[in-house]
Amino acid sequence: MDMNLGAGAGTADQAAETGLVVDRVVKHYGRVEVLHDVSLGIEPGRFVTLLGPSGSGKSTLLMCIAGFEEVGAGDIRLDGRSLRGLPPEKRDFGMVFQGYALFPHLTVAENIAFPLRIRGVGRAERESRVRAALSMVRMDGLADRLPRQISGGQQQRVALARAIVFEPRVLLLDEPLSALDRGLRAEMQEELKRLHGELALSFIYVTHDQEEALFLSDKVAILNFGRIQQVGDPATLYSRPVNRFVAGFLGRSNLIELSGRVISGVFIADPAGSPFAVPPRLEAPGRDDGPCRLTACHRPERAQLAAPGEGEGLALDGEIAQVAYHGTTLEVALRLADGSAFHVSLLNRGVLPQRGERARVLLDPGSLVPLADG
Amino acid sequence: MHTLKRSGATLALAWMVLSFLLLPAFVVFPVSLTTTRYLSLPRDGVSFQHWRTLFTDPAWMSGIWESLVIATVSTAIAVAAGTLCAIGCWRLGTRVAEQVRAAMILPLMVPTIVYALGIYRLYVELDLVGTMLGVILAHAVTGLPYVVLTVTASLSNLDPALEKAARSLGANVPQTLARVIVPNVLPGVLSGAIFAFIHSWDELVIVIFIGGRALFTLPRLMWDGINENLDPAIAAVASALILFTLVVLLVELGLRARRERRDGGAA
Repeated sequence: MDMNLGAGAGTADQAAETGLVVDRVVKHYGRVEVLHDVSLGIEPGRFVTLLGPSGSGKSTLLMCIAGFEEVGAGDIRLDGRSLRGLPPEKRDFGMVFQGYALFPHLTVAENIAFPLRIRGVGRAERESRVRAALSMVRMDGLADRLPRQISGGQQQRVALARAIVFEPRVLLLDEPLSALDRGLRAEMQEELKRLHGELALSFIYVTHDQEEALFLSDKVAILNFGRIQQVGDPATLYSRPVNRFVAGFLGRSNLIELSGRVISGVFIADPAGSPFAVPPRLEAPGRDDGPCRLTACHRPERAQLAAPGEGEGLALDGEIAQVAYHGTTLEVALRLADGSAFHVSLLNRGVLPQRGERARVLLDPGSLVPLADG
Repeated sequence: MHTLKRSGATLALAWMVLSFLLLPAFVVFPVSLTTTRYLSLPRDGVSFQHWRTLFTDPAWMSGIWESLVIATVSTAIAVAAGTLCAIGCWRLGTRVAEQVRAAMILPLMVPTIVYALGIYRLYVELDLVGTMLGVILAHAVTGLPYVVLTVTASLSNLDPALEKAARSLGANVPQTLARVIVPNVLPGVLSGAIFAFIHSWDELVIVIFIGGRALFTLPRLMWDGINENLDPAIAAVASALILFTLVVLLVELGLRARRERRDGGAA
């Protein structure tokens, strides 16, 4: 009785699910585990990015979602229905590839009409939908060209049109912009963002480019070695990385070793255990009371430079070791008393700190974030 | 490195090599027009009597017919099997696929006479000696390498993501094959078909071994004719063979030129 109830509750949960759910997926290539217990929810209409270095498993996860790879254990569900065993052509997922993958023997219009032909859509409707898709990606007028007659950026627009023309349930994008040059990439990023806004369609986007991920996404999942490191919206991921990998992969960071003790969820550094003039206190939820060492992460732009001895709060004293001039910003490296380096990124206000000067860095309140693996 | 100078000597050498390659093939044309009843160059005018023999004599006509049927059917088999094999290897892209591809080229490397001997032993067991089916199957196998080679060459320019793209757009595997992969390797399939056809059309050794006393293709008839009499009709047959092969090759060249013009204009 209880067992039945339990099983029933499980399916009821799944039936109430909306969007795409990756549920404890494990995947091996031979004896190498490429995905380890990966879980991720992709709510309808969201722009979700899988971000990670090469070999992190992000593309494998996308191929599992697309149906080109089978999952070893775990499940992938769409609106509560398992996709296990469903071949890619039955999933109704649009897909955009790094190399565009346009059919070279078909014109732009024929490429976009391909998924409609396969679905047996009548000629009149097919033509009007192809026209609509073309204008959606601003490619009207190039319908009769062959793929090799148009530029890379245009090819990617056609690939996008082809992937959305059949009103897919999810759009999968596998590093779609990495073959484009810098300027074009920025333009296409804007374009993708606009399309996502107009389409009310979930986008699942794979990239190794962190700036692209932060700019485009509602939600980013950071992967490394086949494990999800952290999932969250870009602002949270950037300001509150949970571990060294995320802190290092997403933007630049200063890592500061601290020792002290935890008292009811608050870490208090020892005066001798930190480089700060006044030992900091950090929120450290989930840690047991008692003595502890931890690593805190700090983003270089969340600090000000002040004259020695000036200012209060989270302050570090040191000597300016290096100043790099970047136009809008100045990247300053400070050598602290213990010999370690601390990086500060400042807006260029016309005053250049000089090498060898003594200086004090004032950290923004709350800008020190304890890392889980510190 | 220095470039080769176009001196008189090198030009003369080039023309000599070319003549040596081509002229023996074309000597049969004048011979086929001789007025005599034995193999000779025409001296007292020309005559089409030997060409008439070729197209009226039932033995030659049945030879033409048998050659055509065998070449057509064996080419069809070689094209179907070779194309699928090349596409399969391309999709897998593994080391095993590489080995399979190498094995497919094997019939090209093994001396035909060795291969024919082996086939003969096998066909005795299978009761296929002297049957058209036997020759068709043997020619299909020996024609296979041409198709595998040309289709593999076409596939090497094809983006492997095309298959994934087609399937993500709703096409199942057969639809992907028919609507995306095959149209893109069609030039290779056609070239392979033409080579396989010509291969079967002028193949003699296998036919001698396994044709028994029942099958007389054109090359077989010529071989027997040359041994038994010196009828100039043989020269007419040889000329016809060469002309036919030339036509087929010109068609292939024409197709290729048209394709390149289209591609060139497109770029």
